[in-house]
Amino acid sequence: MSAFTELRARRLLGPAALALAGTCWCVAVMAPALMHDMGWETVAAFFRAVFSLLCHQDPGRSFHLAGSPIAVCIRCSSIYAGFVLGCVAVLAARCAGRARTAPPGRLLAACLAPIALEWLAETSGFPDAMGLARTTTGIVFGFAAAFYVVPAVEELPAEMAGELRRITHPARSAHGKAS
Amino acid sequence: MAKQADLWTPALISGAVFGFLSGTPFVGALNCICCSLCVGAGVLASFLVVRASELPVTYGRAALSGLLSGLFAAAFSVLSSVLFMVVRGVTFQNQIDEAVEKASQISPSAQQASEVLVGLGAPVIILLMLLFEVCFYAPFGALGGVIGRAIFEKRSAAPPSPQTPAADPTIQP
Repeated sequence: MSAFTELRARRLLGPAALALAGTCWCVAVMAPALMHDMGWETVAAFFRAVFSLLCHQDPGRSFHLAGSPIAVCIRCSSIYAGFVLGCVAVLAARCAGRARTAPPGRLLAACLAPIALEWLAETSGFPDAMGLARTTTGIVFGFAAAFYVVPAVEELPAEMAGELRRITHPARSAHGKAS
Repeated sequence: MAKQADLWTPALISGAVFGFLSGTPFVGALNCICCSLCVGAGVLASFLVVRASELPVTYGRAALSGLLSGLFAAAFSVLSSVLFMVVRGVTFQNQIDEAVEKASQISPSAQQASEVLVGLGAPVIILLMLLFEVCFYAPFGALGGVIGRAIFEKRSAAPPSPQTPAADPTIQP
């Protein structure tokens, strides 16, 4: 494999791995509803108990699958789905030689704002009956977050190695870098 | 010599604050809003790192600070949960029964699952709690770190490390 192909493959590895991990996460979120349908009640209850650490799991505010609510609410599941879509978009952009670094930070803050606004609107008495606003704002934020999380995860091993060096050889690294 | 900020102290501070809140009755329910306390731990850690650093903080470093704060938050959350249970005189059996009552509206066999859990004993339940909280808090803390970096870092980013594929100049679009 040429150096060019190898580097190109390395650039695609991060978003591909995160897309795969995100898909597995989404499957785990949907699993209890399907397990309930298959009669695996105890395993389904276990999955729901685990995801209760993350979400209120209100059945009235959750998507249903095979007649049962999935393990997290509409907003959470939309964020996860948006994240997977975002990872696929980063992967596609990388294939086209783009999206090598994260976009400006204020874009992520801007994508977070609709969730806050929608939550404020809902608590002020404007009900989101169909969950459409929660779905849209969740997908938008999850999609945008992927463009920041992918580069962060790619930089993480180098940062971890640097931090480990700082701990094991404090004198050599002198806890600083030349500016 | 410009210095990168220490990651451990901000991670410990934010992990302790948000972990304690997570284990506090009623306040801990805030985690039900898209895991907001775990994400909040990462955001606070990232904010503290950005404020203390003389160099622009990269997304990777912010994610690492968030991840560490998530790990600390998980440990503090379990500690404070156990502490509050002792203070309130509540046993694991009571806690599980309460959870089963809620869960049985969705899953009729929650009772069976609770019997399995109760049979494990308190030390194993605490270890399981810690395991699951670490699994959830670490990635959500890292996400919080990334969000914090996006919001608070106003300086132009340092050039990415040569180890990251994105930085390779030989790759042309």
